[in-house]
Amino acid sequence: MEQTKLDTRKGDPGKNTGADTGFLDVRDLKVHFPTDDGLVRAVDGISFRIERGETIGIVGESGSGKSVTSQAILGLHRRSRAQSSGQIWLDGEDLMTVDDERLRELRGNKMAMIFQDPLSAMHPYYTVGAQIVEAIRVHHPDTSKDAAKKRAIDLLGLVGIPSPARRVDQYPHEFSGGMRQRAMIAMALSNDPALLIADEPTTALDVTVQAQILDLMRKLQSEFDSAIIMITHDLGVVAEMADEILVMYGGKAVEHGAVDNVFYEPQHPYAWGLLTSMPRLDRARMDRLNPVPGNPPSLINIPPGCAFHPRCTYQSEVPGDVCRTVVPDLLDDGTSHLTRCHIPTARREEIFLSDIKPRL
Amino acid sequence: MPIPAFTPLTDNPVMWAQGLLLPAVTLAMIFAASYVRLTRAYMLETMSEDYIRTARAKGVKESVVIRKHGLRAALTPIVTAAGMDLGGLLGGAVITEQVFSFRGLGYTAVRAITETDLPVIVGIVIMASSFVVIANLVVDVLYGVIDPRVRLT
Repeated sequence: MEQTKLDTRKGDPGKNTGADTGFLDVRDLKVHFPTDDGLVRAVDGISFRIERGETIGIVGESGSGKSVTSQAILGLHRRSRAQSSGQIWLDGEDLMTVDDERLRELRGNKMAMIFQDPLSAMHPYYTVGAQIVEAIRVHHPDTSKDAAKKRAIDLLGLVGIPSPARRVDQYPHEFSGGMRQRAMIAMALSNDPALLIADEPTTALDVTVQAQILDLMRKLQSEFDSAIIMITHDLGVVAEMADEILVMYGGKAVEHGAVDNVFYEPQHPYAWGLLTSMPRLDRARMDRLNPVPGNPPSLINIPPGCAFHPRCTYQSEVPGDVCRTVVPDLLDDGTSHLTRCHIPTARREEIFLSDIKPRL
Repeated sequence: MPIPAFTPLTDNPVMWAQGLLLPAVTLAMIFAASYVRLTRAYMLETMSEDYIRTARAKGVKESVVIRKHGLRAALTPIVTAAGMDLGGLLGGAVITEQVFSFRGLGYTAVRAITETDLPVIVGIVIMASSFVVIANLVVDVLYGVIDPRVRLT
């Protein structure tokens, strides 16, 4: 029934029918970039849904479309040449059809983003305080400069920056990497966003700081009941933070399910590869790690059929050249655990139990 | 519009300003052309920076993103070029002076050269070069004002 509802609305976008769209409901999101070398299918039909207070982890290799997905939710591709389609419902509004001004009102206010690499993501010519104050005053123009600055100091203190009253007047280059990342988080949190998108928030940070930042995000989530999209290629971080995991490969979701399902009973050969390639501290040391062979596909030239087939060790499980010619569907195994693979579910279960589970 | 003729500032400030108006517009237009191109080039570069994306993600209005975040960052190389031009301009704008028949530094320099008036040439060269040096000094100080990462020591 849900499916028919979807289809009727597809022909009539822009109607805010307020149907059952959850808090954030991304449906069949596609973002393609036309370039001189061809069409880059950065995101090719991603769907997921989260409620307030929940966290979804999007994992995948570099160039699998994780960051593009998140930036599409904020509408940051609107002014570029990107071709986007699909629906992004946030609290009953389709962000794909609202006008630029409405989107601007939502950005930084109801939905905010923590960018990776805070050195280049913060403006080098303005003090950290000024940048946080701007984020506050752009959505609350009635706030006086002094009040906004006080709030900026509070926020910096909240994210654990020592002597925030002094730090607020410093420039990003006077901050250390970890502090810059915290300042970035403080900026994203300045208007208590209901949806927080964290794009590799802990990459490039040492593990101690990483743990502090994750703690902080959890604390803030429980305080403001925010929904969090956590984009990372650090599986440990996802395991710790997320309720749900979406594994992306070549712009598509290849596996999607509850964190325990995906972590302890992964179904897709790519997820198997990711999980068995992780070093384990609690096991005897094996000679070598098992990397996933090969490289991620070029998004201009995604392999036909299953995008993962050139790297898949289990291709022989499927008769003929189905893997090379037919794009598999994302199928539910009955426990809301979706997998995009041609190998029959029962057979995958067998392989998992005999080959993969002992290595996890 | 009165035909521009130079009146000393001390004689009549209004006439002085009127006399300078057209030559100033002429010089401005010559230089504006190159600054437009320069600004365009640097703005294109700046607008693809990560911090511009951050500003947009904060919900800052596009016009503010361009002026406050983009233009400010693109300013440094523009100021550099402006410093060079300013030094050169103070040393005389030969053609503009000729067109408006002003007896300026440029005119004097040309006359001195045609008449091989060596002391005047030397004097003008020294003056012009000190203007360039001073203009560059001003630019260096301005760097520190524009970009907080530049430390003046």
